[in-house]
Amino acid sequence: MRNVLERPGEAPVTLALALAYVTCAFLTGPVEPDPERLFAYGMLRPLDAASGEPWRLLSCAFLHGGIVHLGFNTFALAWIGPMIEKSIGSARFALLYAVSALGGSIAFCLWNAPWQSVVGGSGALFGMMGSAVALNMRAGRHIFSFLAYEGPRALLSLIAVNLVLGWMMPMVSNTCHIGGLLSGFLLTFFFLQGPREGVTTRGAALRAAIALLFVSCAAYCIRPVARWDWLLSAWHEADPGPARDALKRAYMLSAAGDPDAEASEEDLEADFRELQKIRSTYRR
Amino acid sequence: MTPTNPRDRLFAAGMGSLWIAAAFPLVLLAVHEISPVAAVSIASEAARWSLRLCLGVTAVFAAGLALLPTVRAGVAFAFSMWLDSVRRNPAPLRKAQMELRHAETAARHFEVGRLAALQGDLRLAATHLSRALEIDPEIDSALFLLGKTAFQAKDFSSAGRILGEVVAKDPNHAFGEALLLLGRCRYVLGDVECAAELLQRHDREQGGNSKSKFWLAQALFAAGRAAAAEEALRAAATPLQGRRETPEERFYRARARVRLWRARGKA
Repeated sequence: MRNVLERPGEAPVTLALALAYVTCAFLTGPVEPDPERLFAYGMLRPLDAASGEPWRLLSCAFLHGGIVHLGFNTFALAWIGPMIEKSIGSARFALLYAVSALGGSIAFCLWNAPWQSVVGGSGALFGMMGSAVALNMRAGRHIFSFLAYEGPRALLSLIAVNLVLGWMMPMVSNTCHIGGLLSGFLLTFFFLQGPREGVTTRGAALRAAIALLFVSCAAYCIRPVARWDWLLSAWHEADPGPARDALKRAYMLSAAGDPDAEASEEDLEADFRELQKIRSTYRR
Repeated sequence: MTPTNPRDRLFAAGMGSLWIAAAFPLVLLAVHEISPVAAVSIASEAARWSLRLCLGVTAVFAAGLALLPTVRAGVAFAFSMWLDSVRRNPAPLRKAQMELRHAETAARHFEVGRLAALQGDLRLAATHLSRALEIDPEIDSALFLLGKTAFQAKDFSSAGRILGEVVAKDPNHAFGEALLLLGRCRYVLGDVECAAELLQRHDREQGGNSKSKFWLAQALFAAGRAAAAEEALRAAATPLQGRRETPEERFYRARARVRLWRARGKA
């Protein structure tokens, strides 16, 4: 942590992220943030990400839900950030942060209900911890050689403890943590360092599959064609005709489990108005 | 190219699953353009079956752990092998390699080969052990270790040939391990009568443990001597007295117990 304050040039991206955390905290309310301001500055809800605001998948990683949340995450960033940034370089570290934050947000959108909201950089911070594990694994003679040393084992314990705490505490999204952890680990292990055995067909196929998985999940978060809220909005915007009827049946299947369930246009309009009410909860 | 060994098959299955998972959201997006109802159906079925698969695999594994001694013992054995592999200290091998650079002798090549084999680097071990034997063909330990390395690398024909030479010189080399591994090579290569004879000789002269008795039982079953095989299985399934069992011995004892259950069930 001392590196960030005394030698900022050594970890510029970490310093920039810490400043971004603090700046966003002041913009939204540092002690008890205003939900409307949090929303305006990029709080993530799956239904908003699917309604033309995909930037929230990344912006939520710079916001925090209070002084304690901000304090913990800024401390964790200052502790692990410089170490990772000096190991992989500032540009890769910035990419790691972005991909881990996106990974956490994507996991949240895929797992949680559309109206649930999340803020915080801990998905990205878990990504950094995953990256540290990956760096240790790649550095050894054998990918599990690092377990012979106490430091890396302590890192694994720290990750496990944080995941358990996240599972126990009600206001913490462990989905984001796990998504960020996996994204950071996979990015570092497979993409940020050259292949151990040289370029092979197997390795290239594996990397391609992982990249495709990430991109396709992100695409699904932006366009969740099987989720009831997106289908309802698409039905509302569609012109009368067979396409609109198909969307109605899809919505009824998604929401009620039966595509042919009895529901009039007025019923769906009422559902849509309820959805709009949820959408406008934090909008001024 | 069709994968031939279990590890390649497992990797292929994993890759296939990963590609299916990666393409699934895009497939949903594409299907939606044709039929939104179909996309929702596919998504819900996929979610339902994924959950069933996860629960099923967990239930099978938990049932295996609870009911089958081989699963418990196998997990413990695999864990102990993994723990050994991560605890290995590479420093002695590096030191031996450095000493070899100063003066090339058969003894130094043998030492590098021995330490490489301990590290699990079978290719390096084979290279140096072969070189040691080129310089001094009389190092029986190097010949045995070369045969053992080939055995561990699953090159049973080479292992059989080399271990045959070791056993011809000294049947009790390495406390009978050469005889044991040679018997196993013969079994794997299909010469079950010879395998049974060698393993029975090992059992008579060395006593053996659950692993050697289990291998003997397999060879005897393959040779059509079921009664003697069951006798060997019973001996393999008997708990050890006087000292603590290693995870490997416990695993083979568990395999012997399950094999006995199957044999009794058929009877």
